[in-house]
Amino acid sequence: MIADPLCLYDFCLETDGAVAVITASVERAQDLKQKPVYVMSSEHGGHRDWGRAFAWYGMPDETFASSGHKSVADRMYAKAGVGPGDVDVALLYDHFTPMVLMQLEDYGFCGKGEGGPFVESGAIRFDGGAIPVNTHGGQLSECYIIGMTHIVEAVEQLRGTAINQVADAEIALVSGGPAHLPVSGMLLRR
Amino acid sequence: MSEKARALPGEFIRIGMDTWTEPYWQAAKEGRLTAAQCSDCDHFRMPPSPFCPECLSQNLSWPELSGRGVLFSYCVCTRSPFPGKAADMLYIPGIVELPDAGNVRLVANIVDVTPEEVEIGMALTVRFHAIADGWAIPIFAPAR
Repeated sequence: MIADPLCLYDFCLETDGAVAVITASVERAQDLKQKPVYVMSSEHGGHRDWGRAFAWYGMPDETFASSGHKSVADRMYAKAGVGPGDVDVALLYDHFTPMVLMQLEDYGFCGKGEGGPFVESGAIRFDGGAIPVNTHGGQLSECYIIGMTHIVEAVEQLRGTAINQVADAEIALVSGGPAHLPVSGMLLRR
Repeated sequence: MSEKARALPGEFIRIGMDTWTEPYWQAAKEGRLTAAQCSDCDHFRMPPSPFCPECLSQNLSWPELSGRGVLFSYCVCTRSPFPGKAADMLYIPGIVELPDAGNVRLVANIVDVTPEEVEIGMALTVRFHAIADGWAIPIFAPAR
């Protein structure tokens, strides 16, 4: 037990490593060696009543137990013209297990307060889950490169080259660390 | 009787400050609890950011508070926060609401209470805990 009720495995790993993300125009990307994936939308920011500073806890009761992503998620889906039901695989920032539960709620995969039972039902499992989450093991199990490996996994899933490949993955969600603002979310498609 | 929570060992706690936060730490050093209040619209804000989120004024006052707090949430920890330097200890980081400062919330150690006794909503009172370089931080104990 580290910080009741969080145990050792509820905290992410500590890892040294690096990821390079290369972006290009759609036109230019057609001629590149690796198969591109496309950004549908990318939102960065949040709401003024959540996360005003690193240890600011003055948010209203209805958002205290949240990841602070809802306003970013709503804009992200609206700009892409899709909803949570269209997402085939979700790479949710997993520095701490409870923040994954709350992102599932904020990104609309389940209702508010239902994150725990949703996970217990098997809904985020790779094999047969409604929304596979962190198919690479994430920061809890694979490594912690501060969110960058979630982008790598999303790209691999959409290219069809992931180790734990979600069949026919077309749209992937990548979230940036729940913390004080700004937070972020992005939808990628093949 | 189970063990009571204590404050983190002060000799390992160092703080930095700037123009906006210094009055808070100066008051704590002198045994006073204060919070930043906008001089133009009376809105309290902690931490003391340069601009008031309600009216954008930069005029601040630092009223002396009663020292009363209410526990909003907490977490029981038992592993050493300074591995190799300090032993494992029972400490309880808590979020404390200050009713005479517009209910702004501070993060502070909750002391002199057992894990069984600590509860959301309990009444607290401030104490000051010496840390490195002659400074002090507010901690909270059950109000009696």
